[in-house]
Amino acid sequence: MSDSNTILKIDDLHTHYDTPQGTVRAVAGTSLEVHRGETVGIVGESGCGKSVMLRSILRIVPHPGRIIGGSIEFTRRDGETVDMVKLDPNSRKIRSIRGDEIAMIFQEPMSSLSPVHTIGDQIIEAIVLHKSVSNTEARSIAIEMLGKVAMPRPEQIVDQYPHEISGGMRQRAMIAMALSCEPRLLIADEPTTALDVTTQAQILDLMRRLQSEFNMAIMFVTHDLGVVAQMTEHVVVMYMGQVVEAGSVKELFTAPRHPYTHGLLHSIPRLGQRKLGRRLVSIKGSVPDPFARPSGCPFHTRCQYNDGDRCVREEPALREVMPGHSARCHYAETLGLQGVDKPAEAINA
Amino acid sequence: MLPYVAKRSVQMLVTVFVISIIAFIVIQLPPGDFVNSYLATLSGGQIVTQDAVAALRAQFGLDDNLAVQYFKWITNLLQGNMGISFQYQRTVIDLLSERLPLTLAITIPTAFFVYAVSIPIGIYSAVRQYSPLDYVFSLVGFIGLAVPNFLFAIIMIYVTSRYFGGNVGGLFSPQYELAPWSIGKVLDMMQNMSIAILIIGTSGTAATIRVMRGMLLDELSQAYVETARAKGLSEWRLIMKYPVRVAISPVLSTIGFTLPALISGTEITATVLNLPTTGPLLLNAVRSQDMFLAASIIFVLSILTVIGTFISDLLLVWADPRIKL
Repeated sequence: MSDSNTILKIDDLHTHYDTPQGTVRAVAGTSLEVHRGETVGIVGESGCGKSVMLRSILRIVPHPGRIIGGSIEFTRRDGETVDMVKLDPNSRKIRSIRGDEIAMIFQEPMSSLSPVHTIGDQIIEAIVLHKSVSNTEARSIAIEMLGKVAMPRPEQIVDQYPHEISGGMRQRAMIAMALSCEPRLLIADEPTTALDVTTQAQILDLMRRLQSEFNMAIMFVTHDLGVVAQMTEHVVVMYMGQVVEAGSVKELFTAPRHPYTHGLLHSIPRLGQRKLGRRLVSIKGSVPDPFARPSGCPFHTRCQYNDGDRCVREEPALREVMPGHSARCHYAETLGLQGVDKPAEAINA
Repeated sequence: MLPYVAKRSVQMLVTVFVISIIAFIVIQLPPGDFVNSYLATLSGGQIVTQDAVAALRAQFGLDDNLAVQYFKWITNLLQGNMGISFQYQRTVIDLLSERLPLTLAITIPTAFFVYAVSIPIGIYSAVRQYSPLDYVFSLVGFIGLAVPNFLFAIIMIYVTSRYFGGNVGGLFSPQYELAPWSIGKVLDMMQNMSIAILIIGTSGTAATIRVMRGMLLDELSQAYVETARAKGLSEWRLIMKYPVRVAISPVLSTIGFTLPALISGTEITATVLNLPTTGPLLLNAVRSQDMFLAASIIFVLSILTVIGTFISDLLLVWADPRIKL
């Protein structure tokens, strides 16, 4: 499946946390690919390893987490392919990729910007770091970027502090900062979770528009399947540090192959549900204790299709069930899981 | 900024006025007055008549009621006259102008020493939390906090004189004590001072290390640090620019009370070290109820506290734009 269009290829990534209580396998064999200009949605419950996986890409996994295996191949602008896992996390090389070729925006616009530096200072810093421009030029680039993210009065905002502007505006500032060096890949870690619905729609709209303008790939992490349907072409579903299903949005929504994806899809409330006599289904139980990983398929403790034998004994591999659609379930082909309609309210740029 | 400074200046004047009243009353609170304690120090056998005592009281103006005494003191003070020390039989101004410069000569370098040592160590300890050096600094820091400075002074005096034959205590070695100012005397003073600074600054350094370390640990896990890291900044550069800048605010706010603490908080240590500073002078004045001297020193210290607080407020406004004037 790998071709010249692939810009990021994660293969069997393992990131573990050694704690006094034991080792947590936060990322336990994740594999995925991102192609040029494509948006990949990454979905999963809290604690499924999404955030750690993203931080592994940039090598900014907080202590005591560390990558213990696998590879993360990133194709740079000049065509060079580097394995991020092999780089020293403090090396000049990885720092020249961070913020320049791979940029990241975070969940909390309230705390993701320094409270004691102006918006402009923080954007200009990123520009000066990666581009050989003067401070004055960087400042005009920063103002231009703020304009591109539809920030009102960019010339004034550039000299303001984060506490002086609203949450939505802060997230716009974060996006402006991330895009200031025109990255090839933008990693967005739940960028709209902390925002209210109206602001969320504006930010998503903005990201779509900027994506086509900059022709960058986006890895979009969320636990909101509605957002996935609006924003992405490909979806990767994660459970306990592993990819359990991956495929196009359409495939995944209409014909899920993994019981976990099926559960997620059916736990979204829908209008008219009650009239049709359908109840909201939830996935039974909760995410297992990370220190006591279930044997076999990690999902068997919560799966209604658990056969009590193979599922408990043998860990399924991620395999292709249809071209471009893979799932990590022994019975992916035979369960015949019911999909849902893809939400129609896609945002038009 | 200017209206803020003006507003604060007026507040400071009011504060200082209130302090002057409190300082004066506090000095009067212990039973008896200077004449009592003066008589108590006279060698036994001397007979002092009631008339003589009354004459002394009248001479020192101790017969007037408290309000009158305060009024006399404060009007004189405003004209730059702090009264006379009963005990030393010299003007308070005279005594202070002798002691204050030396006090400042010790305390200002001590303050610099405290911050210059503790801030870098605090930063290192936080960034390399639980590293061997962090443990070493923490251990040394806790000992520094737990051992009273005067005890540390006594140990230092013992160790230097026992093992190095050196002389600790006082600001000058005996040969320079009465000599006129010369390069040799200055060098000698600096040598003696460095030991005094080390002793007086220990607990402040230890405390500031703990504050700096704790504050920075809180900030290091903040999301904006991760943002800076994802930007591609090098680790030390981002730590110095972002979390340290935020974590330093509470340390700056301590400068306000460090100033007076260094001047008055060292009475016992300064007495042990025989330093000619205001500390021992105040201690003596309070013990012998030398009221004008004691009240004046307390008054000067209070002004320093008020000024120190003002300085740290200004520093905080500069360091943290979220603080509105």
